[in-house]
Amino acid sequence: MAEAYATAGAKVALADRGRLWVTLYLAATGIVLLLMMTLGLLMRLAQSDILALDPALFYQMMTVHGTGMVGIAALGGMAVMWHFLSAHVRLHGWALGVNLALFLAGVVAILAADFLGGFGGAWTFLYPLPATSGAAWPAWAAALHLSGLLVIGVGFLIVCLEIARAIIAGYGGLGRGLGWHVLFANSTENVPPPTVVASTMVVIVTTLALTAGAAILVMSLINIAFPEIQIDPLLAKNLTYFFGHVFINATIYMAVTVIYELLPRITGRPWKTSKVFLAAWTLSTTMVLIIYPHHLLMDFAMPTWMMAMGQVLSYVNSFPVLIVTGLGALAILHRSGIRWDLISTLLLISMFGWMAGVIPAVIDATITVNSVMHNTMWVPGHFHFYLLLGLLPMQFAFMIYLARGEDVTPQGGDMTAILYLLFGLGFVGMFLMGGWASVPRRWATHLPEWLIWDQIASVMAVGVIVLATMFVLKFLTRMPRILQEA
Amino acid sequence: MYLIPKIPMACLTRSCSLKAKARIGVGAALVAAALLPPLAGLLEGRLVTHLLCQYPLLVGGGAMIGATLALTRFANWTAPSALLAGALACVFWLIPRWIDAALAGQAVNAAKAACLVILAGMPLGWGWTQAGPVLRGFVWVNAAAMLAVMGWLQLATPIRLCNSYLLSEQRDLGLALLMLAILALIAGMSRAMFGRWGRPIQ
Repeated sequence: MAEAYATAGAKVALADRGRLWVTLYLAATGIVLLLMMTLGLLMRLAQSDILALDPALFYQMMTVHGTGMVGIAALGGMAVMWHFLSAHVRLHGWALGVNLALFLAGVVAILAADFLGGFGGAWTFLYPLPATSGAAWPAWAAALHLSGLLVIGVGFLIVCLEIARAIIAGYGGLGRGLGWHVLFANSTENVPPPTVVASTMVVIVTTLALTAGAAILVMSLINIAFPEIQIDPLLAKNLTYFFGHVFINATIYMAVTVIYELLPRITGRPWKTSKVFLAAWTLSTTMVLIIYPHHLLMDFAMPTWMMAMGQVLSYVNSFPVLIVTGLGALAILHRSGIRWDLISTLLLISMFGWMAGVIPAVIDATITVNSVMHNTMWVPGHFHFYLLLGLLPMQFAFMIYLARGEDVTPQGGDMTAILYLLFGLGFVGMFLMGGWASVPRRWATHLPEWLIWDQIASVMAVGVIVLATMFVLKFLTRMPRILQEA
Repeated sequence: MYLIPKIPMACLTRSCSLKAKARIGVGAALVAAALLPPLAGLLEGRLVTHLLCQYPLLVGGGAMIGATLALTRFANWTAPSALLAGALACVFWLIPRWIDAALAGQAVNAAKAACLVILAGMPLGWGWTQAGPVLRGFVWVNAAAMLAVMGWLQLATPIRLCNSYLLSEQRDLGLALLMLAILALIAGMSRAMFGRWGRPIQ
């Protein structure tokens, strides 16, 4: 089966792999990431009572940090996925260019809305907060922020449609991109490689998420313009979290392609597309779309069956892909004689971060735990774990891979990756311990009893930022050469 | 929805010409059916049938003519502007004030019909035929999202939007639009998922 995919992949002529755009995406990702990390550090310093920060500014920073990190996770993830997918299907780079232009326009709108207009309604922009701020920000600021999100969503939709087009042209449908002809009809023809399977899943779920996102954003804009036209708050929350949950989940599925592509090259062992692998991705495609109610477990008006579905499927959702990816990675690494270096260590850390980061989420998805823990630092602990130690190491590994001219020969540097892991663990550990101690999340000011976790987290954040800067600089300093090659 | 049909550049053969004439004839028949009594009166009698039967007949008739004309000339650069123009023309005639005006006066009703055929339907048909798969997908996804928003708007608005129709009809329209949005999404995703089984890699 692996042979079948290797043969199919080799037939594709690579007219345009969008190298220029991928490089620009990564540069933007690196720079914005460091800026957003700095905002995060400032917020932790303010909570530590070390830095005096106006609470209104804190919430503006929190909004920019949250929105910016989600956006940049998607931008970086898209660059990774595009690069590897373009080896299997014929993609047109113009879509990446359009997306980047719209992304930057949206970022400008959001920065103006948040820092000039004072919008601080968090990335969730939950109804009715944008329109009902209690004079904390004017209506235009809320409208501009939401419009910025809408523009960014349009850009990502265009890229998703281009990828869908390429997969359909290459494999005959998104169903075949998920390998359903192999799974259900025992076909051995044109078997999609792991990267195509993951990309197909991303395209399906992201397109649906963006559709829901566009709907709730336009509804919210109408509500801002005509406050008498109100939205059912539960409908608004369902749409918002369907959009947000699916979109941020998809970013790690974009980036995981780096594991499927680089580990086989590093170890010299192919990553086989098995039926178990395909079944796992199909299951996750379905479940990632329907588990979002675990964000609404505190909403008593939600139908009980949806709550139960949110809890049960949250337990199950992550495991299929995690198991096939984790076990697949371990099988490839076992007795491979690998010499660890920066790229391979970052990839292994990302597997750990992804797997371990899911555990606090699964715990929080338990209804009885959720009612106590959901509004505490536990939840930021989960998603920082997942993103800081799961997603970002994948993106850093890809940046360094490109900076080294796509050479996977071991070149050392694994200690910096281990330091990143240690500082990252310390940082997210403080969030989780804060949650364990019932420290509320989204509070600009903390009580003296809580400061110890905030202060340790601030120190750890400095370490994370220094190491992340090193990784990003490795890429940025080699960028001219990468662009010349493009 | 993502699959682009090949436009026959030399569509001048006798059979092609006959097919084109037949398509234009069907388009004209759809327009006539929507405008001639007794169907016109019946369709305009209720909000749901007015917007979801008469409008689609007019736009669909124009679209068939536009799509047929598009087969004679390959100009894919015109697709985005044509689709945008068609969508804006549709949106204009969805404004409640103009729906009321069309029901109140013959002249405005004639203008509505002409606009929906010539300024909405024909550009949409032309643009859709010229559009590539990404643009088609984009239009389809946005149409689904905005149908849902329109449906919500009809249900959420506390007052009657059209003087000519009852609040209950507004509610019916809202539900119908929501169902249409779901159907559009299911249809689009189904086409994408099961597009072309068995086609070899290119």
